[in-house]
Amino acid sequence: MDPNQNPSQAYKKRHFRAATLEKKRAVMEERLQSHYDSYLRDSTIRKSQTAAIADPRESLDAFLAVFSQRREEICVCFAEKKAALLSSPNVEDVASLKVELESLLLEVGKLQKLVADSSFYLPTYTMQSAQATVTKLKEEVETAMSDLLPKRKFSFRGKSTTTKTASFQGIQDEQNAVVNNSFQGIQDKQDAVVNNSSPGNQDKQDDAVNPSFQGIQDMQDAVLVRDAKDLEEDREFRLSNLSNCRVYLQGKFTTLYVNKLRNCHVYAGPVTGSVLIEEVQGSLFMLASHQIRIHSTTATDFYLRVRSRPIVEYTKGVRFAPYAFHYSGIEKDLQAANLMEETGLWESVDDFRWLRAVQSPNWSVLPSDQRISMEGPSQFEAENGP
Amino acid sequence: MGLLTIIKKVKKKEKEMRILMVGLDNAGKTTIVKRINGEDTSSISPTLGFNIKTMQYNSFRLNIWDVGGQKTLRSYWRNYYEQTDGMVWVVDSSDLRRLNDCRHELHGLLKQEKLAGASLLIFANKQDIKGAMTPQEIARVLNLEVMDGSRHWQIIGCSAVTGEGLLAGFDWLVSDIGSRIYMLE
Repeated sequence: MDPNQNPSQAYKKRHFRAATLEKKRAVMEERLQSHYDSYLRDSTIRKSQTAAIADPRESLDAFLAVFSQRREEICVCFAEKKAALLSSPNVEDVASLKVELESLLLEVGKLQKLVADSSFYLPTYTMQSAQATVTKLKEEVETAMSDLLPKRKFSFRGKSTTTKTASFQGIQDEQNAVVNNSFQGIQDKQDAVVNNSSPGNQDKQDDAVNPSFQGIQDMQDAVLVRDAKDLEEDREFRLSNLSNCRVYLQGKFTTLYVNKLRNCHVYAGPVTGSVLIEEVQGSLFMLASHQIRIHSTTATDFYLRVRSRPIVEYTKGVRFAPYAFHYSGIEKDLQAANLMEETGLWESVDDFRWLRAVQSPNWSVLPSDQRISMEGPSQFEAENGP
Repeated sequence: MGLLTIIKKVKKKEKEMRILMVGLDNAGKTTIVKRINGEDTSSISPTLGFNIKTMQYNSFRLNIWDVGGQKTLRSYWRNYYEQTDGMVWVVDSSDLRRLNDCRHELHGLLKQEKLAGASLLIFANKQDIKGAMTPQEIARVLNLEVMDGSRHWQIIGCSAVTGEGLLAGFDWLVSDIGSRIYMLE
């Protein structure tokens, strides 16, 4: 501090300072006022803006009010429909009810959309409970609908026919290529097969006319003899639906099928392939073959020569003995069929219905004193023939 | 690497195929197997149970399961379905009377889920017998076209006695299985 300082000067100085301060204060107040004014202005603007943006529905209370009201409406409507559904089994009513239920389902859909739209401002709990309510409603309506008219089952639709035919054509061609056969050929053969199944083919004449069948069927009380000249070696022979017949097949052939015979005697030359016998009762067979299968047969005697073990299945009371047939030239045929020597397998029978080690009760060996003596048609014809 | 890939790799290493021979009794299943294996076919007994034959065919090892076809045994066929790569259904082409049985049994087999992916070769056997039905006729009677698009199949006429058609059939089956299992990686 200057000790020589003039007091008036000092006063002036003080006064000046005070004036400056006053001035500063005024400026400050003015600034504050303007700040406050601008704040007020801004806030009113903001308020008006918010008011403009804000959706009146965007409040929890409003949402809950709307939601519960609409849910109520749907529930009431649904209950009505349900009652109507129970009381009217009328078809037309059912159809119209279904349409109404569909519109109800649309309403539920709208409700669901409302929940979804409000999801950004709803508290989690409200949100979840609202969703649960909607889902439940929807399920109820859908169940009612499916009860009313069952849902169509899913199924594949057929592809366009053109592609199908094309692919089939391709495979058909491939087959033809493999077997080297024309379609015409099959057609003809098919017809031939159909002809075969008609009765009355038992005649030798018919057999000659109809080359795809060799055999005897639908006969009663007859003696039927086929010699080597009647028997085609590389053809099957069928015996079907015969009763009280005696059949002599004096030659060799490739396969024998026997089906539905009653009280018949069948004497056959060597069969180079297999013999299949089904549904025979009270008969007698004299057979030589590579394989013999006997099914569903009762009370029948078999005189066999086989190159493998004969089998029985679903049979009862069948008896076995060795082969003892004779006709002129049988040795040559047996030789050619590789059936000359006795294999002894005629008594090694496998019963497919009896897999235990002990002897099957379904078949037995025919005691030698009960066997027939060697028999031929000539002998038979000498006794009873024409 | 999925399980399927592992299985494929294992199979590729061994190059094995499991083939199931089925069909009615008296169709000639065992005779066919013995014939392609070059064995004597003159004294074959009807199959009581089953036979397994392993043979080398081109670069593959075939495990052929020849299952008896008697009525009594047919209910046991299902025990052999597992892991079958190919089926051979043998038909006695001269046994017209039992073709309905044959169709019934075949279609029963085709419904088996375990056999859904297996290739199917149908042998119209006994073509050496005069008057035997042709493979085309048999295909029609057995209604084989229902399998079009759902299964690889082929019908081939053959004779186990003369050997005709057997190689053509097995060639098709082996190449079909081979292209399915070993080449598709």
